[in-house]
Amino acid sequence: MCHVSVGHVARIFEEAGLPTVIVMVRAFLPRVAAMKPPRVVVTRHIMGRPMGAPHDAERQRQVLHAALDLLVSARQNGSILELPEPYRAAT
Amino acid sequence: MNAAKSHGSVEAVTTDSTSPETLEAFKNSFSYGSRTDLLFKFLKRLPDAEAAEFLRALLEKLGETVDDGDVGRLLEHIYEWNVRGYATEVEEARSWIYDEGPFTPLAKPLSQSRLGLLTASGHFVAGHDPEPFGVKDMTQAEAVPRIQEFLRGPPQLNVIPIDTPAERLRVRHPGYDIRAVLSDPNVALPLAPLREAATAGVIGGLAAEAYSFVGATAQTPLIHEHAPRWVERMRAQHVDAVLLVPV
Repeated sequence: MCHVSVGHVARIFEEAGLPTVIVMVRAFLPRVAAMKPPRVVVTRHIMGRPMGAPHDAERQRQVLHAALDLLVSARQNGSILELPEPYRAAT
Repeated sequence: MNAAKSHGSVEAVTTDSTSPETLEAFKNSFSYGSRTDLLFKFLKRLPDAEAAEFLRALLEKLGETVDDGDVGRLLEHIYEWNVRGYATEVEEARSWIYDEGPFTPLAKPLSQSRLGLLTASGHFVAGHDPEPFGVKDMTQAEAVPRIQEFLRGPPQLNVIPIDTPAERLRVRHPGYDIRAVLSDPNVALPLAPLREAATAGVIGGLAAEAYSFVGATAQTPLIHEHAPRWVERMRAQHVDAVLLVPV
């Protein structure tokens, strides 16, 4: 239900003229895609870890930059970017 | 229990607590049951045969990992079954499916845009506990069994000053495994990478306040009352775009 809540927040913000980008794990993509979100960056991460593993600052930075890039590059609703990197534990 | 057994009926015997636990009961017990572990609550969503296959393959991969220490295969296995577990979620949904959706383009270059952050991770700042249902100092263990109450109640928005150090953050959420965010809040509340991006000039700046709420919440008050107010809060912060993180 967390993802449905954020799907609604994204829709309401965009309707009000505020651009948004969602960062989320792949498991919930079908549910969120069915809400027609504006922009989504999807990570191949384990549930509860959307930005990356704890203390994996490099991955967290990479995911954030992908989201920022999508804010700029997206031209229409339903802009969904799936990042290919698998989840990794920080070493 | 012995009294039930003495009736001798098949039904009484199968409800006897000494009878073998079924695979169905075992896999379901990880989702708000006797073995609650929200990292593995997806097991309840799998048919018995698939749950058995998840566990068989998990042990096989664990056996391989014993010798080479490569945990990547275990992580990939859990990830793949997260995806399988929730693959049918849309078919089960009775509401909140839309044929089309809104889109607002970014109005300024990113380097001139002020970013806001709103997460559904359930973070709050120490000393500012939203005290759900009026309960003081509710622990994670106390919150999890109250999942249905959270889902029926309105959301509470927690204000998190953008420069809040990690050690001042607290988290409580009845819907997901918080082990990772307890270790590092940036897993779902990426304050550190956002501050870094602002310092580097990648973004024009950050709103003074970030926000978090418990995403397990009632949708109707969220849609009609709370999210529209959150728009106003973002506007008051002169935000040009918002990063949203569900968990």
